[in-house]
Amino acid sequence: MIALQLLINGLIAGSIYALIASGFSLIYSTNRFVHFAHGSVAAIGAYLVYTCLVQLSAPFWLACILSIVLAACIGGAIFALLYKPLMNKKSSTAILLIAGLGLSIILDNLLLLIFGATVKSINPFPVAKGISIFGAIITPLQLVIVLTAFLIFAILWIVMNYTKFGTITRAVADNPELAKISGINTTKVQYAGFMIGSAMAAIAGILIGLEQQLEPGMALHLMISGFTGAVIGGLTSVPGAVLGSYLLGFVENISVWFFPSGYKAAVAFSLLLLFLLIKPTGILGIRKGIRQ
Amino acid sequence: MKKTNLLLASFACLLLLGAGCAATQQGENQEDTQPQETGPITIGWIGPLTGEATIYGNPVKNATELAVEEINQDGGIDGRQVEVMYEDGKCNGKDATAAIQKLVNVEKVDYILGGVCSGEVLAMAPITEAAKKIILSPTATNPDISQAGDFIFRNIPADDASGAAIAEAVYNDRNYKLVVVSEQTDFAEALHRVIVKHYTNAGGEILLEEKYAPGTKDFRGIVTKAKAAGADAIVINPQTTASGGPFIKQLRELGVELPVYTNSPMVDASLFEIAGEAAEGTVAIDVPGLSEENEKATTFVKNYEERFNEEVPFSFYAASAYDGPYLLKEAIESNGPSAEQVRDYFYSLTNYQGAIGNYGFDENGDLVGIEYQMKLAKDGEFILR
Repeated sequence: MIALQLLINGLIAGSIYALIASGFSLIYSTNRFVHFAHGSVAAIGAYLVYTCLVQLSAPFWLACILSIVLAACIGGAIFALLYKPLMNKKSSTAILLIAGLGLSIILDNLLLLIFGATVKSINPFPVAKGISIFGAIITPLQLVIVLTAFLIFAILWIVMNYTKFGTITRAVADNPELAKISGINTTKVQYAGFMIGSAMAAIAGILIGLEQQLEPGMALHLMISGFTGAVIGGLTSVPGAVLGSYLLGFVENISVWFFPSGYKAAVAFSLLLLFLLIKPTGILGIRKGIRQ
Repeated sequence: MKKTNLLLASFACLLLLGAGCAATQQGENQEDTQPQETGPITIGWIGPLTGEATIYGNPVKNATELAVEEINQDGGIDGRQVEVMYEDGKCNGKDATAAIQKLVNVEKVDYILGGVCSGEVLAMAPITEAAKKIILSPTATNPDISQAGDFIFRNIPADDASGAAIAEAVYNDRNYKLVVVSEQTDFAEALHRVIVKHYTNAGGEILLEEKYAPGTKDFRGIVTKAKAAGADAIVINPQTTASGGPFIKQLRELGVELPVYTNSPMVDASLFEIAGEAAEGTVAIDVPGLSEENEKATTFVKNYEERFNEEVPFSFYAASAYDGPYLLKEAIESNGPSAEQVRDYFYSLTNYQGAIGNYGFDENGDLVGIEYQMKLAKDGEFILR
């Protein structure tokens, strides 16, 4: 029973990481650089729902749709106004990474400025004992988080493997130069990656905001866990990023049983280092792409 | 054009660097650190202005601001106006160190109000002691602060008392087998040690001690472990409700109905916002509420609400911060402005009538005269148990 509860705990944590990691990985595979402000976009998504729901008293579904659409636009705008001009100047990926880091700091501080530093709560559901599954307990909201993560995973799997967009994205992920020579409009794919990835970040932000609380510093925590999951699973593979996130969630939560919980982050980063040493491309990553 | 811009930018950087060095040099050469007899009195304030601990950092800052405004309207201290420089200590030693270096070496403040968090005060102490600056903290409760220096005072009872009170409350309630969960901050870890020491000394049994990193939101692992340990009560000892709230929420979600005991920073409306009904029944050891018979307390609450358009959050912490500038005023006007004079006056205080009640300082600069109380979460608020 305890083992099952630990597995479920891992599943919940893994789903949260996977929600962030999948969008992050989609952006990475279409653009080939680490979009460090991804966590901040997720945080903005959560704060947008807070604004609509608590401050404007909009219905929950409307708040969610607005937040997701706006986040997609913000993602597109970030690409158009920050990354695209840098890419046009042939900036290295290191510069793009630093630009993303800078942007995330600016966005986090903007959230701090607008909403203040105090913790905000958007949980509209009363706290109650969760549902018992063979003695292990999960709340309805956590179940929604897990199912949403699965659903996104399934949709991405189908889109990536069985649609034209997926084939193009994989071609770009595999070899951007060759894809371009073959006549693929890589800029379009890059925009699509940013917009869809940012919309997914907003979905993640909303669900995480409901489960936990909102604070301007949340972006960094989200980004670190999502990034770790994505690297473990393979940055260039969206399904890989999801798998890596689940692995991270399970390992973290099972480690709590054996070690004091203060070492949770140390365990997560040990796993990351282990993967970087043994399998640097991650579980499902494409080797060729990363080396180039 | 680009090159010119780059050159200009480099020049500006060098200029700024140079100015910084010059300022430091000037600071080192200035032997006289005594407050100037004319011009405004400058006070430094350090506390969390960003991060989770702003939940009490903000009201503490507001209360300080209010007291200083009132003092200035009444003609200042010894006829001199008071200026306060607010710095963000972010509730940790690293940022508080940077802030205090700036306040002491660059801004040359005469006295420090704060830090708000124990980690801030402990990090500031060696610097302020060397520079002979008074620290008066309204909220830092770590027991180690007692021995941190001769110029350090606090008008809040220390955690030796609150930790002992928590241990005693749990033991007297039913001699529970206990799980103690604490956040890894200077405040919470010190309180953790006091609770464990007193509980085991009293003959109680502690089954599990867990500590978690600041920023943790997922407590399902710890709760599962606590459940499996067979505990019959839990002490949650966080820095703020931002982690303590989710802990209690997840505890109840996972079906753990054990009694929960907690510390003073959890006594706030935000606990009920985060944990909702799950917080009901929580027992907290807290500083006392403000007395309605105390005129200073009622004046403070009234003025605060008028000035900031909100009910006073963490009213004791805020009132304690409100007392700070008034304590300084009394010390300077009665005994003189030097750090030694203020220090000696504080040590001689036995019955200061402040907004938080009547109190004095002992030989360690710790508050005497005010005791912790036991409170119970009931119907969305904490009441005396």
